[in-house]
Amino acid sequence: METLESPKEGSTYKGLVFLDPKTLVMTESPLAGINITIGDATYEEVRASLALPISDPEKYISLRIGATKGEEQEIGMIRDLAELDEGQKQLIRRELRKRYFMHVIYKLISVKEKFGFLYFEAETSKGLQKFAVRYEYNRVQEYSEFGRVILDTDDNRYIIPDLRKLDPDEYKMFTRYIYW
Amino acid sequence: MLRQPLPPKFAAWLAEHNVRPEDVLLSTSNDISFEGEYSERWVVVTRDAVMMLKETDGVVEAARSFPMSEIEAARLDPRVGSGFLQVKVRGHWAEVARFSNARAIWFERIAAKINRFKETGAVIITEEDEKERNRCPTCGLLLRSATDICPRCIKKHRVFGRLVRMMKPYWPWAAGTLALVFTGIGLDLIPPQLSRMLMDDVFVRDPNRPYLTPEWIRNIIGTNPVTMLFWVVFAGMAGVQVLRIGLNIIIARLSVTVGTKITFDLRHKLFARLSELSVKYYDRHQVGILMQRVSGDTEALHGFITQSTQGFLVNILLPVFIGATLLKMNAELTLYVLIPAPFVIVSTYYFWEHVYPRYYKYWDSSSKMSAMLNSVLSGIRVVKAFSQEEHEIARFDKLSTNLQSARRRVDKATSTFYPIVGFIFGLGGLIVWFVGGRYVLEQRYGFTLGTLTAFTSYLGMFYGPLSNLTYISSWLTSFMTAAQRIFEVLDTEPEIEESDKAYHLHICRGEIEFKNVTFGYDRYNPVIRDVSVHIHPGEMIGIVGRSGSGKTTFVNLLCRFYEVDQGGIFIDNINIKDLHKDDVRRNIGLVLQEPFLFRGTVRENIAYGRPDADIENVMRAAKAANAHDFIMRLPDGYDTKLGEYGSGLSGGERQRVSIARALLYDPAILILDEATSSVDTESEKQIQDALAVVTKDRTTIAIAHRLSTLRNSDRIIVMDDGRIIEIGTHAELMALEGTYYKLVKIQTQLTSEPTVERLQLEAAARK
Repeated sequence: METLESPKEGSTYKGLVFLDPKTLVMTESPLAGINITIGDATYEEVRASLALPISDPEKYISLRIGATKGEEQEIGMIRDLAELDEGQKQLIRRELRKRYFMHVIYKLISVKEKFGFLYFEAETSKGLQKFAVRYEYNRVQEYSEFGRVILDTDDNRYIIPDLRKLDPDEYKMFTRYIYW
Repeated sequence: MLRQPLPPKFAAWLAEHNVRPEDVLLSTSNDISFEGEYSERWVVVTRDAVMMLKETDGVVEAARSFPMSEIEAARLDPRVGSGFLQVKVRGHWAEVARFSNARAIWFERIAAKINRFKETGAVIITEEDEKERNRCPTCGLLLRSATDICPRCIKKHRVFGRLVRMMKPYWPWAAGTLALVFTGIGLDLIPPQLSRMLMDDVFVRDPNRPYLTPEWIRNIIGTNPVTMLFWVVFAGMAGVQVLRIGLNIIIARLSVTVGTKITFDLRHKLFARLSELSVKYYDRHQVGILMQRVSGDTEALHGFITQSTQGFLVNILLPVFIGATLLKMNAELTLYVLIPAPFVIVSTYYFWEHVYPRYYKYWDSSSKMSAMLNSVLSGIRVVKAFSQEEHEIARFDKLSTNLQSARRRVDKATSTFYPIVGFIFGLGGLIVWFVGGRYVLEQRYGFTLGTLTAFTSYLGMFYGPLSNLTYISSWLTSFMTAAQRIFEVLDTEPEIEESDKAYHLHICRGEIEFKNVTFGYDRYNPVIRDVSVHIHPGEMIGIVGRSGSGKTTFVNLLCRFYEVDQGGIFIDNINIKDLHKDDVRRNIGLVLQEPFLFRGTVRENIAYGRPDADIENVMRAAKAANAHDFIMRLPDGYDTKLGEYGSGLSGGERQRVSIARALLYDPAILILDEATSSVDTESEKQIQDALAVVTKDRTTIAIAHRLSTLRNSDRIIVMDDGRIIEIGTHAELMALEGTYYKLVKIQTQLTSEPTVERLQLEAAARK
């Protein structure tokens, strides 16, 4: 285990902790998350989350315990998913899939506006989806440089990774309403 | 739904496993697998188990099942875009099911119901539990918030009727305005008729045709009737113009008068009603939305009233009157005039749907560039200090390019659209000149050159209002929705009703008793559970506990911001439900973490609860609150004007003003809710000194995270999960070595910054 800063004498503050994958023993938890042993310490029900889920989703993975505010603690971070062995990678990827539930939009079929809502129909990574979005500025945000993330009325997330890759009609349909 | 009928396959599986339909307490579908793929799954809660059923290759199985006897609690574990229903089994949280955010509301309720079942052994599903959030209960249309008005179901005629009734006190004004609108439209019809007269009777008069002017006018105008008639018609035209302008001014002034009077009344009624509504109402409605109702929606109504007289009515009436006039002049030619009308309507629709939205992009690009300029120029020292000039220039160029392309798109669209629309509008004129011109040449229908020019003049007044009518429906809907939102607030009854036999509490001793009080902001999720405590007059009580343990709710209930669900709260042995609301609050002084000061002078803020207090008492209160000295250092002393939220003072100073306010109020019961937690240590010490004076001989309830501030309390209440888990003096609780003891230990270890005690010790050492 390496730290960026040396702890001050008498302090429990450890600074940012990067974990050495070779020292990690990961097993699937039967109930939730994964169990991780580092040296003598075993952490149960560990979850994984990304520091850069948009710009670099394969790097800087935080391993955490406790699900509620106040209880949550970071065990440490893994710099790169590539550093892990195949078994560890699978477990971490599974945990990441559990954390992030997103739809990637492959094709926009229609976008219509009615009574302050935009009604979308799109082919997505999770199949054909119809969803409604409040027609407000903060419901469609930038995603990386050329992408957009759309939050529907239930806060489900739909991603267009690159607007430039939409065909001209889809682009026109989208930017007619989402001009920002 | 919380008790959703199970599909036959799943129901059959339950039957095979000896679960009868009546044993199912809760059943709801979830939409995704643990891996995040869409698939149908069912969560079923029975008296004996919580399970998740799924179907694989046509075979139903229980993918997860936990015996109810082993379940300690249930909760939701929200993730990004989805969440998990979890149950606590033998100290560990186990995942039961994963759901997308679309189903979150149902699983929130399922978790609450399981917890309630563990406490009471029963599951009660109310009508409220089965309601979908943010959907119109009638048509299912999505709404912005659960309390929003459905634009599809709004009964426009009722809202309109109510608006008209609201105008009742101003009916002479409204009737006068309406009469003038009609007169104005009548005047609009005159000039083309005068121009016709000018053409036919003056410029190209047929000597065989008799004068249209009466004999008596000709007698007056004498020997050269043509010239004189010219002057008369010309004077008539000028007169109509002047009259029309005069009328326009009067109509506008009248409608503004009526509009502002009605919106003033509405604003007054709205604010009065909002002040009466309970705190619970404010929990359900965002302050921003309510502010929008008081300012934005009333303003929209003002717009509606003024537009009605100047825009809508004219747009509706003018095409009708002109259409009738044209028909009367020549029915056949009028039908030709109508040929471009559909194009006018289509082109207006096209403008609003395709051309106008391009302005959004332009405005957005423009405001982004302004925002960027503002931030970079204001922070130019940072830019220079980090040598980021090149980077900022590149960023500016990118925004500037966006603005350029947005502007180009707008200008290209408008430079094509407007000439085409101009042509469509002109098409009517061409048709009239062509067809009408032939009528004149062929002398058909007695059609004169004057009639032809009158026809073309009317055309100009016909197409404009027609194009405006295309969007009148959506304008009306937005006005009606605004009106309905206002009426909804006006129709909301205050939830805390005063009993007819409410007692007055003239002299309060400050004795408080909570008897088996249970309360939840949502009925199925109590945050105060069966709390009983007796507080003696003059006692100082400290309340500690984690965030969400129920501390603030405890004092909210005492102030009667909410009604308890079960049990009762007594002040001086009288249930607060039987006391006048004002009497309860008059005897309670509240000092909050965020001192809420209003725009006004320091004096007005201290005397907020007792506006009649004389300046000496205000100063005495300020002195006791350790505020007098800093107030006297201000250039304008007690007359210092404070901005909104007390801007102009530091956090500690604002807090001391709020303590002075509480002290001047002289309540029998004082509540301090984290009164010192957001100020620096030096200010905290001054506030603590002030509080020592204020709390003397007064029943005081103090909530604090910094336990050191509660050390002098007569008793300390430790709350957890809505219950009182420990109660006693500091020494007793320390001896108990329970939760309080642990909290004190943690804080002693954590606190490295100077504390009040440390400051006091340092001060003592200096002496």
